[in-house]
Amino acid sequence: MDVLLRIGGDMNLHAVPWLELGLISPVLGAALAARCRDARAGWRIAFSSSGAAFACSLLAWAGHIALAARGEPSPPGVIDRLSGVRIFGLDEMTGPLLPFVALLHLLIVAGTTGGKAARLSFGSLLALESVNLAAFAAIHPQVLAGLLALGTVVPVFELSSRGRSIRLYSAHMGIFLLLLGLGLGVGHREGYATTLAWVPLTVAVLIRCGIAPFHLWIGDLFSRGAFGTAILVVTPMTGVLAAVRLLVPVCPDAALEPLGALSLVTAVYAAGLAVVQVEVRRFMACLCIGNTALVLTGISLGSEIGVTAALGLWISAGIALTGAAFALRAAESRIGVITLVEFRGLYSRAPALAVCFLSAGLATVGFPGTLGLLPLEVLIERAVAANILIGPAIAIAIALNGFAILRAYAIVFTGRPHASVIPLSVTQRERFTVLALALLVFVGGVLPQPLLDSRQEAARALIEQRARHSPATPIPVPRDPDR
Amino acid sequence: MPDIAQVISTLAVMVAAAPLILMIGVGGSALIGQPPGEPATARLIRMTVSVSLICAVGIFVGMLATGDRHVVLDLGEWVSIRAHEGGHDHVYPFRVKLIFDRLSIPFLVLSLILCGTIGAFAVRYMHRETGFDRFFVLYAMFMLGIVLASVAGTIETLLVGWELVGLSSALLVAFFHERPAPVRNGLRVWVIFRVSDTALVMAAILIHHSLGSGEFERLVGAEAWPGGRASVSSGELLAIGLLIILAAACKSALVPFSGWLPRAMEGPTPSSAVFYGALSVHLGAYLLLRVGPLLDESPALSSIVVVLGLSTALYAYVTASVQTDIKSALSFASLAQVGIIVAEIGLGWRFIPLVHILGHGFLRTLQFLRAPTLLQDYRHLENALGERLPRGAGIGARVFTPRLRTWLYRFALERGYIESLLAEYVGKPFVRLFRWFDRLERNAIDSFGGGESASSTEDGRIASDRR
Repeated sequence: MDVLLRIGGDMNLHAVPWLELGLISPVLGAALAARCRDARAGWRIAFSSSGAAFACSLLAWAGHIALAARGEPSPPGVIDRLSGVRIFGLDEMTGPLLPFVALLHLLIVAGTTGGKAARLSFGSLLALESVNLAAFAAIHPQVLAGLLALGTVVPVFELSSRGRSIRLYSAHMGIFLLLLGLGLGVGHREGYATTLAWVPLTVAVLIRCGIAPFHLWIGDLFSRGAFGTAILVVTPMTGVLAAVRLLVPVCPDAALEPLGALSLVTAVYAAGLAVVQVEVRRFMACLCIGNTALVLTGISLGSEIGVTAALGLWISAGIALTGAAFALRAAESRIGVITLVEFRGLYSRAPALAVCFLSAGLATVGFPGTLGLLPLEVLIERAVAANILIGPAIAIAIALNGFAILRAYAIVFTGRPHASVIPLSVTQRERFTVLALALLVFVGGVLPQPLLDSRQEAARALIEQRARHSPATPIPVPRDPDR
Repeated sequence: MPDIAQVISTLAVMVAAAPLILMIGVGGSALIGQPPGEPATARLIRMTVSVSLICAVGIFVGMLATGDRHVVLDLGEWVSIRAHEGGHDHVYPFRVKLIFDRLSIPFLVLSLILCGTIGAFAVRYMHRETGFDRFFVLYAMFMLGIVLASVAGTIETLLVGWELVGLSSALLVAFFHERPAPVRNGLRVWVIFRVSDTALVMAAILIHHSLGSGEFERLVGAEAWPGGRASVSSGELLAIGLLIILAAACKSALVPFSGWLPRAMEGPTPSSAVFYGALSVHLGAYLLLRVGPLLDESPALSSIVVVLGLSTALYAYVTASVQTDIKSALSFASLAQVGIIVAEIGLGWRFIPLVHILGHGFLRTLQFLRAPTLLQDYRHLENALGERLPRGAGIGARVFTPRLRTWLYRFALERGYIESLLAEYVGKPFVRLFRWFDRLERNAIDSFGGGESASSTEDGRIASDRR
């Protein structure tokens, strides 16, 4: 954080519209990649534009930190000036989330090799990145809702192009969009967060987050869609973004309680399902559902420390889940569809992938020395303070996830060495991803304070927003992002 | 010239830093795909274990010189979150504190001597073995864990060490991972250790909740060990105590969690020596000693500990009598001693179980390390004696009726049916329930979105209906 502050202070970063550049680069990349027929060239375009988006979003965050430290508001961006309304910007909540989302996309693109690169549409991957980044940078509720709606479209194309049924996915997303529109429309028409506004918004958030009983679409997407796309639809936890931007600031406590209760049940349920899975993709889907549910559980606690832990978990779990999914996806690209039934013996062929899966997987359960330790510890501690039954339930969910991860590791990576006539060791691109993930997981685990500090500021801002907009007060207008 | 307290502080930091350096050195180089090689690994182990051991002995000498029997090194707050809510200040501190006292110093020295011995042995034992680097990454993780657990002054620090020991143990059991059996056994060990970790996490959270901090000094008082007094209410004391006993029972393989111990035999001999003989299996007893004042305050908790210890000792004795391989026999013999140690703790003794741990640890390590050459040792003995070693009938043959002997034999052979009971009444219902949920979900997905998903069956096989 200090490094970013120094960079931001020294370089007069706000003179350059880094945020807009970060948003535009995947759009340009998507346009170029869509016209490109060569997989190798497509990968180069995708990697360059994802890398540029990550670098720009990092610089935008540094600029935001520098301005916030001086107490100055950030000047409106190019898009804001053209439209006359503040549409995009960074604030305490989304400052680190933007580079986080860009990083997830960059890692998945970087780790896409061989057969996967030939089959995957880099154009749609970059389109998804554009929409995700724009959603995380959006501060105007209607614009955010529009981007959330747009984000549901890419998987539809993806599933359709593979000849898979889109019924389940589109039914869930259709209801999500309907309820989102209803919640925002009613809320804005009446100017208050009435029951008519927050009930549909709550259900919309539950659907988008994949909270039981609205979670089937995630398993379906993982099973039938492209693995890479499914990871990038789920791991940034866009549903949680909808919750913290559209629901939590305005909803009454009565909405948070069922949200928390359902999320907690989902966390335990998904962890139990992960233990008995026989398909690696559904196993990954269960892990994602469980972790998203834990984040929502923390947010619903309402206390500053609890929300801080949940927001920290959002980032740590996002990175860790992407790492674990990346390793499984790379394993799948080598030996085809993986079932969690017989030992596949991939360790001897690609030990780096095994280490990546294990370390990232253990980070999702807060193993010591990894990025996930502190957010989960603090979350359980605050949960116990809120209600003595919540803490044990979270601990049980984490314990089950821990077992499920080691079981999956054992089945995929151990056993008699996988027989192959072609080399299956990691490629340079994959090694880059593995090292980047390991660095994030372990360095973040040893130095967790900056992450928690930044998340505490966001939690404080969220709680202040809630205090300002109690149920009897209007839904917030777009706020100045740098205040 | 620096005063003794300053020197002790520096040494204390080095005690914990040396294993950390080993972990970073061995693990980091393996991660970037450049393992250090056998000679460099051996040198690194020698160096770090020696530094840590010399520092531990230095602290001991310093404590003798100053007469201080309770040195606490506060390394400050690793992480701290402060908030003001509802008119109250809330703080989440993750404080790193190391305690050097009459409990931690002996256990630390025992751990380091045995880790050093096992390290030197394993460098030769694992020579040119596939997975040499992997073994030493896990060895480094284990050593870091056991050192942290030994000197932990807060429950959070203990938890970090506890989990490191657990994961490294499970992965070492599954070390020969080309065969399915060691991997399956490693997973069984991991299940029990996850229960242990979860119990300890819950205990840590309750301690935080009650005292606002996880420091042992707050929990059991700042008096030098074995003194101290519990500073929580009786209800909290019972809850915290039960969770700690559960954590300790899982880690030390006390009844009914003893099933993992024979399964752990699949690991390489050096790791068996470290875990079942010497260190890992004593960690639960060590934890009970650390929270001794909690047991002193509660007759109920003490009674539970005594019953657990005695039943484990009895069970292990009976089961050890019918084992046919040396590592299993030694592991059950180890367990019998651990049971007695735990019973001693429950009876309120403190120094006797500590001395028992030290003596037992050294003896059992020697026995485990000699295990691969047992037949040769027997041959030497018999050659020296000039006759076969005497094989007397056991006490059971003289005391019990034939019918009871048969029942006991079957009981021992089936290892008390404990594992099968746990599998039948805990494991299988859990798996059945969640497989049922899984089937429901797959049916829902298939009926709504087209039948493409695979479904699990009772025996875990995949019944694919892919189109």
